[in-house]
Amino acid sequence: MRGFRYQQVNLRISRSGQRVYFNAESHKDYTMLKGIALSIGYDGALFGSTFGFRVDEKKILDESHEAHLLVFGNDVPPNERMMFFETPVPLQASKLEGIYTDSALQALLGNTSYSPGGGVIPPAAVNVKKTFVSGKDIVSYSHVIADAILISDNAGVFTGGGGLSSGVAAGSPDPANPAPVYYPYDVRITMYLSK
Amino acid sequence: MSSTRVIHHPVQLIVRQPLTPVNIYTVLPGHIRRVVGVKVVHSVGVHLMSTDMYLPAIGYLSLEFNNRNYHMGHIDVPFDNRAEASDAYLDTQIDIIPDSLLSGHYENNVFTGTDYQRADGTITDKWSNYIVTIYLKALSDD
Repeated sequence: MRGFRYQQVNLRISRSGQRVYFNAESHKDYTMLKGIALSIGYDGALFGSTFGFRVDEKKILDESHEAHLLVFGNDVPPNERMMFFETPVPLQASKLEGIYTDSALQALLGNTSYSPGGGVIPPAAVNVKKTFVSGKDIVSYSHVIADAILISDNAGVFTGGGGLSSGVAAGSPDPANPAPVYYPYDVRITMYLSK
Repeated sequence: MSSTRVIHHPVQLIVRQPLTPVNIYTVLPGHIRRVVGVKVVHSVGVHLMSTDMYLPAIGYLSLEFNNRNYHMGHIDVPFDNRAEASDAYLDTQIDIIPDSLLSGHYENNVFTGTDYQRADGTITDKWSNYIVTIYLKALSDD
């Protein structure tokens, strides 16, 4: 038997500014998490979107970690298309949690609560809704083993096809600069497990 | 049970004026013991001002750790709007005093000359606030 496994979770983002939370359990035969990567079906949605990740309720990636830093393209050799952890994260049928937020950072561009010249954005402003705990406007899904299963919201959404959002939905990017993004799109999270 | 593990801690800063340096003062979480890598990336905003996919330096960052006791140096911040990520971090091995200050400043390099304020005194309408993120790859005993 091979000593590694790529465990996957698929998410579907249906509209601008949507946050999707998942939790899953790591495969019981594998004891190390060595890396993680995202693939996103639509490049236009990459910048400003964020992905947080926790293992056994311990933060690995902050909720404001940018999704585009976890996406690797054809210029990267296949064996390197992943963010590897220098110290593998120990697993034992562990709880894996993630939260993907579409266009999270664009919403901060128009914020005027900082000093006139700018400055450090307080973590509380970035992680506004504390989504690992609770929050409105969140699509949540929970199951025992997530492995290449499509996770969607209640609105039914395995309909395919695309809609065009003007970017003015709740939690969307700056309305003055509505970069068109087609919805829905899929996000695939790949976790590299090892024995 | 406490064990050391690697975390990635982001510090976001917003640039709102082209000619005003941005001061950085933030307290690092107390569970961070060592910073083993630093990466500075443009997050959002510059793509609203430029049609280029890559600019080598949109600004310069100076970083200090441990209540200004350790100056790491100056870092060029590029703008890269291509959907290609790099897992690379600048190698650092900085032991962190618990609850110490991360400080420094960021100097913008976009719209800093006559392209911002013209000879007749008018100011360009192309300026957009933008966000730069400092990622600290750190050992945590959380």
